[in-house]
Parts: sequence; C-alpha cells; structure tokens
Amino acid sequence: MIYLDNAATTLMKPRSVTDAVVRAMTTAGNASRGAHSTSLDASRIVYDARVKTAQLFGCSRPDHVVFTCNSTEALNIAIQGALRPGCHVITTDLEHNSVLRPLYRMQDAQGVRLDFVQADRSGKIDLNAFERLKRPDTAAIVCTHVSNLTGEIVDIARIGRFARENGILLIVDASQSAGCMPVDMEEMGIDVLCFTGHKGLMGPQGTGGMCIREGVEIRPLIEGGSGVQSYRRRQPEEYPTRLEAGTMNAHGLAGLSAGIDFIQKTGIRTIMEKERSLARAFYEGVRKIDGVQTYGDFTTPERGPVVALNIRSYDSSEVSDALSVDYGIATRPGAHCAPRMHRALGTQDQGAVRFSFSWFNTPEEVEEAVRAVGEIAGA
Amino acid sequence: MRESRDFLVITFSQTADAMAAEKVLTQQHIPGRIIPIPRQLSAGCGLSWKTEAEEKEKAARCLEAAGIRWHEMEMVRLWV
Repeated sequence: MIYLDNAATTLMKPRSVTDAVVRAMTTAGNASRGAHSTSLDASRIVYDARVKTAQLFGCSRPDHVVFTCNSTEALNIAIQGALRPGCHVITTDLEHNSVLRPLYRMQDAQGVRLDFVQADRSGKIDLNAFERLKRPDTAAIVCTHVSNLTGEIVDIARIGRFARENGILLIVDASQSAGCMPVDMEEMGIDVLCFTGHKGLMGPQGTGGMCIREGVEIRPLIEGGSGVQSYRRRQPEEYPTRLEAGTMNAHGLAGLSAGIDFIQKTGIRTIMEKERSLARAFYEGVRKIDGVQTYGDFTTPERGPVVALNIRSYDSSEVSDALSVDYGIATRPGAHCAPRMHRALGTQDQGAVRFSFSWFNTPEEVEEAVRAVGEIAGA
Repeated sequence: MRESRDFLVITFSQTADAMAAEKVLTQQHIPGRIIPIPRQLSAGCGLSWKTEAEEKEKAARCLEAAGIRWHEMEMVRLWV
C-alpha cells in the first residue's frame, strides 16, 4: 500500500516509537500515583515528554505543557477554558471543526461573539482583516497554523505581533504543522499552542496537548484524580495538573517522546524540505493532467505537505475509493471537517481528494500516485 | 522495630515539580530519592524527595537556580 493520508494520521512511524510504547507498556505503572518504581517510571516518561515538547515548541516551562488525547481535546480546553461569556473572538474560514464547534458551542451557550476572516477561492486569508475585525472587547484569536485541506500556511508570527500589540489572546491549532515545520511559541507570539501527537510528531494516537504561555489562565474542562492534593475539594491550581485529570497516557507519551527524538535527530527543516518536495513533485505531476483541479495557492514553495484535488466532476469519494481498491493508494475524500473552507473553495458538494505526504514516503510512491490520478482522469 | 532517624523531606504540590526536582538534584549529585509524601507533611498523596539533613542548603540552591517550586522542606523521622 502507498499511504498518502498523513494529514489524518501518520501510519509509518520510526521503529523507536513503537519500541518505546511496547517498553512502556511492560514497565510503566500509573504516573503520579505512588512512588514505587513502575509508577516513577511512568512519571519520568511523562515528565521527559513535557521537557521535549517544551523544547520543540519554544515553551519556556515544561510544567506548562499539558497533555491531552489529541488536538481536539486541547482546543476544547483552551477555547472553553480561556474565553469568558459574551467576549468577542476572531477566527478564520480555514478552521477545522475542532476549532469551529467549541467556538459555536461558546457562541450558543455563553454568548461569545464570533467574526471570521474569510478565505478567497484559493483558500487564502487577508491578514489585514484581523485589524478590521478587531473590537474593543476582542478577547481572543483562534487560528490554525496550516489548513488541513489545502496546506496553506498562515503567517502566525504576524498575527502574533498583532495580538500582542492589542492584548488579544492567541490560540493556535498546530495539528498540521507540529513536526512538519518549525513552530516556536515565543518567536510567533503564541499564547496557547494546541497540537496532536499522531500526525507530524509521529507518535501514537491518543497523544496530544497544549503549551501555555506563562500568565495565561485556563479553567479546567474536566476535574478528577490528580494523584496530588487529594483532600482538596477541586482540581489543583497549578499547571499541568490543573488541566490533567485522570490517568495519563504514559504508554502513548513514551512513543510521542521517541517521535520528538526522531524529529530532533533528523532535523525539522530536513523533514520539512523532504515532505515539501514530495508534495511539490506530486502537484507538478497532476497539474498537467487534463480534468484535474487542485485547490490552494501553489505559487509559494512554503506550504504544508498536502495536495487536495478533484478529477472532473467525479465524486471525491469514488475517486478515493478507486485509488484504494485499484491502486492501493490511501487518500482521504469528502469534507475534511473544514466546512467553511470547502465553501470558500466551492467544493462543498464534491468534497476533495486529499493527498498528504510524510517523511517516510518516497518519490517512487509519488510517481505511482500521479500515474493513478492520470489513469482515473483518462478513463 | 525498624530503625528510624531524621531525614530532610522536600515536598511538591504536583508530580511535574517532583520530576523536575529529581532530574536536577540527581544531576547535582545530591543523594536521595523520591518517596511518597510522609503523612506528617501531607494528608494527601504525592511525591517528595528524601535526603540527608545537611543537603538542605545545597538542594534549595539547586532548585531555586532551576526555577523549581517546592512546597515544604521539613525534617521528618523516617525508617532508615
């Protein structure tokens, strides 16, 4: 099989990741639940993962790295825990439902007022729109770093400067960029960075989290066992315990740690360049095929390693199914949990077939995929 | 009866701080290890660092230098 659905989850992981998970499953007890050797092993695994995550993302404090099951959980905690009733929030058309739905929930239940920076037909946003949409009561900007549909990169550093200048909280969804390109909270002016572990970071599913800048207050979404301060009536105040109730996924975090090690050893820029060159080669191959329509702005080399396309007016689901059944190529069709972006691109009915690339893909696989697209388009 | 004597016990309000402290104190060759918090210091559960009384100032300096918060530093009579 040729696996080109890495924006959904990376299937090929470094061997060190699976080894670390297996090792942890046979040695790690419950983190923060006692001081016997296996519990301490688990606590050390979790803490090491905090240190490595903080280093990777330029977070000044490892104890401000909070682990969750995925980006969606982190974004829910950040959005529901940081916003106050009735405040004003600016977000964008590029967002995934993991941002949109918690925001709509806050809109419905807490009277939060939303404004959207609109995307054009190529899925790009006008960064000056943030200034135009700003109001005196604007409390937060919630913005993706990279579109999961087109691979468009948003200039977070510029938005970060704008947010800082105006005292606006910046929450960033790094689901598609973490592990695929440099992400630095300090340099980019990010207050809360939400990430998942199972995509570019090459870790297991069920890992993810958020990095919180010092001084940012987020209320817990869930409360429960913490292993510390047990007679306290409510969840402890300190990060990360404030936002981490219940048993940690130490087994998964061992794998995430190993994934980050792999990325640091290989070099994030080396990974970025390879993934980009694979995506670019695929784009250059398919764009010449009659009947193929790609989405997004390919005039810049600085893109996430994603190419979304349609063939003629074919249902994207049928195309993806044919790729899978006839060619053994894994892609994702349909709506990609990004409803506003599909409307902007005009693909709300057809959906789109998304090809997404990872460090472990090869130029030969790209050639195969281009050939398959050509055959389907010619049939 | 098991023999007991006084030890310095450093407590933390959460596990992440205890893990950070373990890393720094071990790197600085301060003898000791993580133990469950003795009941004299906490009615809850959690982790603490058990070491010798004479390590107090050095341990405090190391933790301060590393920006690691601790909750208490107390002498506690514990099993040897």
